[in-house]
Amino acid sequence: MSRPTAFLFLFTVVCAVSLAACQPTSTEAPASTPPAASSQPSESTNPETGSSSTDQRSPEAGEETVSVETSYVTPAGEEKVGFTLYVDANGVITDAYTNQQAKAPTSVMRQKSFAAELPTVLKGKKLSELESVDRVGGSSLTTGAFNKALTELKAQL
Amino acid sequence: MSSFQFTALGTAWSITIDQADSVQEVPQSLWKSVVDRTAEFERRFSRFKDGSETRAFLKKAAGTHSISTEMCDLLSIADRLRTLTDGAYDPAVGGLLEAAGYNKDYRLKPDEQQLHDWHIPTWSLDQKKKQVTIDGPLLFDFGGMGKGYWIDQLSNFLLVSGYPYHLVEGGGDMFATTKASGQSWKIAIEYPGQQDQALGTYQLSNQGFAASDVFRRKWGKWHHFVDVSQNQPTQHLVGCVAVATTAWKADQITSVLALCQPVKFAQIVGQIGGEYVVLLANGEARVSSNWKGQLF
Repeated sequence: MSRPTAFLFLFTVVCAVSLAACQPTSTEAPASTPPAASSQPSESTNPETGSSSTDQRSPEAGEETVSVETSYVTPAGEEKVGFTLYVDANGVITDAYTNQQAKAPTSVMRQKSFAAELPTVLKGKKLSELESVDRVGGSSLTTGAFNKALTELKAQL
Repeated sequence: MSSFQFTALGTAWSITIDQADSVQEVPQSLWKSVVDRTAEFERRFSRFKDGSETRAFLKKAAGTHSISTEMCDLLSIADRLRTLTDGAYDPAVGGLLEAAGYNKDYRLKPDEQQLHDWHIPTWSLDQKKKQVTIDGPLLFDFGGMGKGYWIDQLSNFLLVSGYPYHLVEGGGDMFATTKASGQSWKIAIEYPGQQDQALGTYQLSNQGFAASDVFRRKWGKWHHFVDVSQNQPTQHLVGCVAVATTAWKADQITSVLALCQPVKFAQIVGQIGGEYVVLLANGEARVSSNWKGQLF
């Protein structure tokens, strides 16, 4: 089994177990948030977050897809869910997609919110490449670089 | 655009005011007021200042004590966060932080005996009477939300002073109204641990923003997110950012995210109200379903 496929099976098992184990009252959407007044530019948001069933895209040149389907048991009965990983020529996972196939309303809601918070890998971009930035937001600024911390972070990944 | 920078509460502050009509320069007296008010807030509520209302509790005996209105406001939200996080967030953690070495001299060397002996103090708040009851001397620390609170206060001060279009930033957390044109303020979000990298952007429009990570305040095996149930720094999270209707709420969110297990993120943040991105120690990012910013 190739590495992405092995990862996908493990990933799917974890996801299915998480979906099945979701508490009835949990939801990914906050209860009563006032709508944000911001007007977002037309750049796409969350390029690497898992998308929902209506907008699965075809792989781009150099990309392969690896898909698997599984099922899990809920109080409403057995539900199906599928996952597709997009892998580039170097075997790096570039995108993930959840194929929502739930039937019961609660399962539909949970698969939706699960897909919305699908584990994501953020690559980042150089600050200098960004345009028209008014300010940089980040944790409390102290002086000096934290190379040691960065090395430790890399060692953990 | 007029900008002003100053240092307070252990970090760098920056205020940017946008004016439709830039004929009248922002007077120096306004900046002076900002600095003076912030110094007063710090004097009153920093656990590092002798004579502060938070440090005063080190000298108080077990029993019930009266507190100021502002102390009561701060403690009531802290109390709510304590409930929301099942005690993982507790402003009485000041003593533990000092035992770990995060004191006003930045000793940064843990006192192992103090650490071993320390237990989380018991305290309760009567909001109506503006009284707090304690089981012995303790040290309150509003580090997890004081900055956000103060950012909102400064924003309000600018508003009533006749400057409605502004961005107030305190060490990377901020509140932004809009620009005079009505446009939002575009902020780049720093990638935790990587100073020249952005993990995304956000267009702030009458919103607060907060960020926190384990790198900035880190010494030995300690960093400043403390899990009071373990007397240890937390392990699972590398950094997080939050956006909410106020800087105070955004600050509260980053504090609770740093102290709760990932499975509870959405539920707890739902109680406060806001959007978030969390970077976990295993390299994963968790993004709330209502996140409206851009991510790379």
